[in-house]
Amino acid sequence: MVMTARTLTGHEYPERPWPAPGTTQKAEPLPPIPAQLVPVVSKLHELLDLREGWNSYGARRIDPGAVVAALRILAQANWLGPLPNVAPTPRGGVELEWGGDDDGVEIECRPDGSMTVLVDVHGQMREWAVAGPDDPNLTEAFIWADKLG
Amino acid sequence: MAGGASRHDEQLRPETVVWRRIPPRHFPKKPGVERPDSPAFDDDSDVEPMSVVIAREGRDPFEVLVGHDGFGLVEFTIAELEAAGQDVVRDPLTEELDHALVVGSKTLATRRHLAKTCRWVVRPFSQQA
Repeated sequence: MVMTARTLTGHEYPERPWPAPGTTQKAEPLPPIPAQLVPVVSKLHELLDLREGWNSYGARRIDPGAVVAALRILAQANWLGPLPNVAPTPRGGVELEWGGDDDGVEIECRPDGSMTVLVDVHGQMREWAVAGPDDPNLTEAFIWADKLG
Repeated sequence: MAGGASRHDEQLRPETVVWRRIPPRHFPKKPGVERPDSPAFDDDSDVEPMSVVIAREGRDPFEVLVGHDGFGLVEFTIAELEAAGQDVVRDPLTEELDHALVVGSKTLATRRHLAKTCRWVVRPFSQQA
């Protein structure tokens, strides 16, 4: 990365060329997924089979990008803790959830790539946005997820 | 709009009950967990608020599940929804005259609160005694 002390003008930014027709681009690979997460991978994969309207209220199909984002969160953390519950959202996203009826942790991955974390502990709910699977602000969520199971 | 639209509707009182269908995908899956998943209480789309059916006196809740085999049904009172920052407004449809919309911002915390507040009317088969 080139560091500069001044603001670049528009034409100084390097453009990312569109791939030529008929060519392929290298996709960003997923980090290795721990074997114990296979049941979660399987459940996330099943969500892609849901048809539009699966909740009887016109829910969207699940966006593959949201599924990949959820996988990236777990893979990036090399998650070896309790397996999360996996739930589809009506707007095409997915949620990972740990805990029970009272205390719990939820991470929502939306089709637009945005992610939100909710920690509900001792009757207090806090939620915040995270920038991506490697955002350090996910750490607290994982600590609670590990405790709450 | 939050904080009172439902109060202006004379027929909708705080104790009025509304029902929402729960798809099998949002049934509790973990032993010991009784409530549905939080995403069951999101808006229907970016432009459509969450749908419910007003539980008119004497109406059979199973009518709301006709054509939706395997679904569950939960209830709230309007007071409970308003306490979560939501308003309930009538939105009669040709196929469901008691249809209403639950209008208001639904953050993750709001959805989880609704999931914790609702009561089963028709429970998932696996939870039935």
